[in-house]
Amino acid sequence: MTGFAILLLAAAIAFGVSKLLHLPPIPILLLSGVALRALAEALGVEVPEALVSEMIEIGLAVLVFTAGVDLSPRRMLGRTKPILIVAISQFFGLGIAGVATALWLGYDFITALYLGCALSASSTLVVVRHLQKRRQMFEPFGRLVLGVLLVQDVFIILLMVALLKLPSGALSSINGVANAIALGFLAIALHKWVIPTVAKKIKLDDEELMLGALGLLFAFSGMAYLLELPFLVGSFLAGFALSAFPMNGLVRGMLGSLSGFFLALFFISIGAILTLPTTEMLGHSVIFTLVLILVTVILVSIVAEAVGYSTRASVETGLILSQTSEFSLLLALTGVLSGQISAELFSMIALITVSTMTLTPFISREKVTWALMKLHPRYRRGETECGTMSQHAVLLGYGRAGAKTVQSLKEQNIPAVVVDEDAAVIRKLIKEGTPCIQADGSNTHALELAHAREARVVICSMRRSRDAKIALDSLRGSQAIVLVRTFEADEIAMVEAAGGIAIKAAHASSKTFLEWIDLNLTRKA
Amino acid sequence: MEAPDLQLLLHLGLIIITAAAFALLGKLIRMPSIVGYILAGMVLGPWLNLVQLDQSLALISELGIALLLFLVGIELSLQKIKDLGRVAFVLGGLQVLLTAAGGFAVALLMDFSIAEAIFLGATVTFSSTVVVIKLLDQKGATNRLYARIAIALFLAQDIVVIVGLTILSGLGSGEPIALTQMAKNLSFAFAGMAILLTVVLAAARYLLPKPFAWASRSPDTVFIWALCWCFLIVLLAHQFHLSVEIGAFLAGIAVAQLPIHEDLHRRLHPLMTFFIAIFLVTLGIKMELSEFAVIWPAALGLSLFVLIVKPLIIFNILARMRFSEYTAFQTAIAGGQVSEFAFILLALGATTGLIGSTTVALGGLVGIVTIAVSSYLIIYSESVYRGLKKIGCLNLFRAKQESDPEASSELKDHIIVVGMNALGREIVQQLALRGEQVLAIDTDPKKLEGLGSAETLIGNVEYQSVVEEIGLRQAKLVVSALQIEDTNHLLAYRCRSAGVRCAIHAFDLSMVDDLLELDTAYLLMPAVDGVVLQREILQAKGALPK
Repeated sequence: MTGFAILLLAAAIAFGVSKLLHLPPIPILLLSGVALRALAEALGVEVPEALVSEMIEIGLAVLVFTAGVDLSPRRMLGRTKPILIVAISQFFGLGIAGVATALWLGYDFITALYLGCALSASSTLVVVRHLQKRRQMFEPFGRLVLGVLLVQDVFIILLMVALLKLPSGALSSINGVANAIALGFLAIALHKWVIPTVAKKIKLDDEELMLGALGLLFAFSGMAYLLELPFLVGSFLAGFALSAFPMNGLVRGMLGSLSGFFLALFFISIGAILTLPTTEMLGHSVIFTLVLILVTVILVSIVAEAVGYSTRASVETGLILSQTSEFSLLLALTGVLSGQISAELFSMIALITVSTMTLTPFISREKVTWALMKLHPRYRRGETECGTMSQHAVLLGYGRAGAKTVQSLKEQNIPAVVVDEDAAVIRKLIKEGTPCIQADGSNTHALELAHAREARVVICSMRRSRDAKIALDSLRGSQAIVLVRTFEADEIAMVEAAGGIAIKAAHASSKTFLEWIDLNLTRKA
Repeated sequence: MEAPDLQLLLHLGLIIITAAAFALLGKLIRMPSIVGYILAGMVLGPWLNLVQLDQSLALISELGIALLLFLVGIELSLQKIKDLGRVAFVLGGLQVLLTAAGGFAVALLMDFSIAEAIFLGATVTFSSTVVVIKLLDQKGATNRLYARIAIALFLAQDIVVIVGLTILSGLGSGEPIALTQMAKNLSFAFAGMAILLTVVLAAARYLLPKPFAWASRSPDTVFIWALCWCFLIVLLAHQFHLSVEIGAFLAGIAVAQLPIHEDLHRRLHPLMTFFIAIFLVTLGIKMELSEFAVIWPAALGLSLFVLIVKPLIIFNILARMRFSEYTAFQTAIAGGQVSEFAFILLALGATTGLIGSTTVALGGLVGIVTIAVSSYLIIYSESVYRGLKKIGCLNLFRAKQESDPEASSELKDHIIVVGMNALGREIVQQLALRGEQVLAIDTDPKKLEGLGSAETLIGNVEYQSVVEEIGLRQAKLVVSALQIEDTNHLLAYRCRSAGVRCAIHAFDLSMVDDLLELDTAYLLMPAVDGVVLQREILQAKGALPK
């Protein structure tokens, strides 16, 4: 119990530090584990190896199981092709870059393969948390990111099997992957037919649901073990089987508690078994980190835009995927336990994981996105008609409502010019013959180009409220009526204070809804 | 680095799969899950010998007990504890004395030696905190008065157990009994309890509130901190030779004073359920069945004593204390089994050489039988009460017939609004102004401030316990303003299953089809409404023709 309490204390400190510094908890948990070992060694206290080992065992199973439960193929519906293209390009592109870098640095082929694969997977835990915090989970780029993460998880599981079997020969590798795919078919069958039927037809309480879910986890892990596959493969596929709606929703809350508990202890335990990498390896970590970030951002930005996403969404996707994953740690752990890679290499991969996860909140900031968008080639063809415009409408930011707005203005024979920073959006507008300027809507030069002060109306849909404020201040005293789309109360106050008219979307929606209540609830009552 | 031997995962896997199988079979024949778990353990242990208890499983079992009592503590406010203090003292004291004496007498009548009779008397005296709380939780009755009295009784028993264990530990050391040393140990234990209580109360007032308030917007941080707090107090309790139960319970009391205690309780509950299931299976694994043929008559006699006489003692005491017949009966039924402490007491007795293995096996068998039967009685206690009342045999005890006052708040025909973003807050405020009974829910306590007359709840609607607590089935409308697709889908699904209308925020057009398929009555679409409003404003300002 003492050892357990100490691990919990280390986890508690890690979470506190992570919250204080606004960093993802996983790297802090790893570092906390490292600190725990260092402290134990300094005090001459024995680290409870058996407990640490058991926490790693259970944590591994729970980690991949939870990843499988979140693997909802429904999320990819309607976007499967672009997601697959981006995911495959990113995974294999980065993998090849990683392998090439490793070989160049003098690592042997197997080690290079492990490094390449470890670099390719991005962290579901970090990225999802980041998207949730910024409320971007279900924006177009958020859906792309989630789709890519799911595909990466499948690839990394299959590659793990292939790599583990590689020392026994290529045939053994292929056989292992085939067994994994066969088990995968069983999981798919459960996912498609059995689990949804069980959820709908049999009323199970929380306890029964949890036991059933965990029973499935252990059953699949056992089957994987019997098929001479890593038990993790079974755990992952068990999670996938449960990812069918509504079962995934019914078990998510319960599994959240279990996974939160075991994962915290898992990462502390991983930290506690890390050995310090050599100076050479520290240098190599920096190189791999740079390769990861550069290749991911460039590759994903180009490919995502090519398959139809906006420049902004593409760049944001590239930035947010620029870290290694908990699966990278799993891959490295299985590699070191099977003797294929050294403990120092495992530590190096852990170091890359810690660094890149820590960097994620910083490199995925809006400032960075904007800065990278400025590197995109500019399209000026849309500006040709702007010089002759007056009593027109200016849209600052196209957004989701831009198409409808432009359409309704056209119907009223009111010319409109769109000012948007996003190159892909501008390309689309040029194709449609809509006058447009590729620029930041808060840029005074862009406003001059668009003759905003001579417009009859300026509609601002820019994401950042401070950009809207800059635009409002620039247009103060002009004849233009300035409308700003707002959602939160503080945005409304800012717009009205700056002389604009707030489009209170939440208020409008609430009003319509209450009218519906009056008709459908009150009357019936 | 060595490859792990996966022994723990193998054992856990066997336990979970067997427990799940028995729980499912039990569901078909309406058997309480606890009985299923114990049977699962008996299959895995004494019968098939597939699982042996080791340190890891013992630790996991202990974690379950700690979490269970931690959750019990979280549910109690200091006021509730004060109210029950006198009851616990009187009921606990009298029940322990009378039951121990009765059990001792029955054992003597069965020709056991004095030492054996003392141990068996002690065995039958104490009731199982873990089993009963688990069953009451399953019934959704932990907030009822009789449940709180039962918990108070069991905790009072725990204090007596500490005395017993302390004495036995002194005997078990193999050295001659030194009364002064034993007195020292006892004083140390009681002083420890006083210190622990002081620490916990001081922490509840001065130490915990600010950090937990700071971390309240980060549920993962709060979750881990709460667990860390629980086990640190358990460790501290251990230093004073106090049980895991007492340490965890006191830790829970400190957390009960925090605003987020209800949400914490919900988050911790699944974790506790998992560990307790393993604990109950290990009870079955520990069973010794080899001497069954010899001990079954004595086991039957003692089991009947535990199942009938012990509840009668509790019933009588509570009736004399002027509790209602219903409260007294329910509490008495809850006390009708043997505690897991019995196994520890008997094991210690065997170590000291005072009793033999037959007595240990007897105690174990009585424990399993009474836990199994009592589980049925507790789950179906309402029917049992009605049946006995009909026959009229409860009238003999002349207990008060009027019900005891119970705190209850039932929501009905209310409107539930989930997600206090701008849209959610607007809806709540407008509905409250119209005089509707509104319940606002969010995981962030700060977002629930300033909502006027609306009731509020910190919670995540993905948890079934939250769904029950908000009275979803009794609501007239559920509204989700959340921008979380998965949660919205689940909520729509739950509303459809409950036959309650729902209005869901469709923040993306791709969600519309799925939500309509789930029979969502209304789709909140601020993006679309914003465009309409934009046109209206432009027309009003003359920028667009009308």
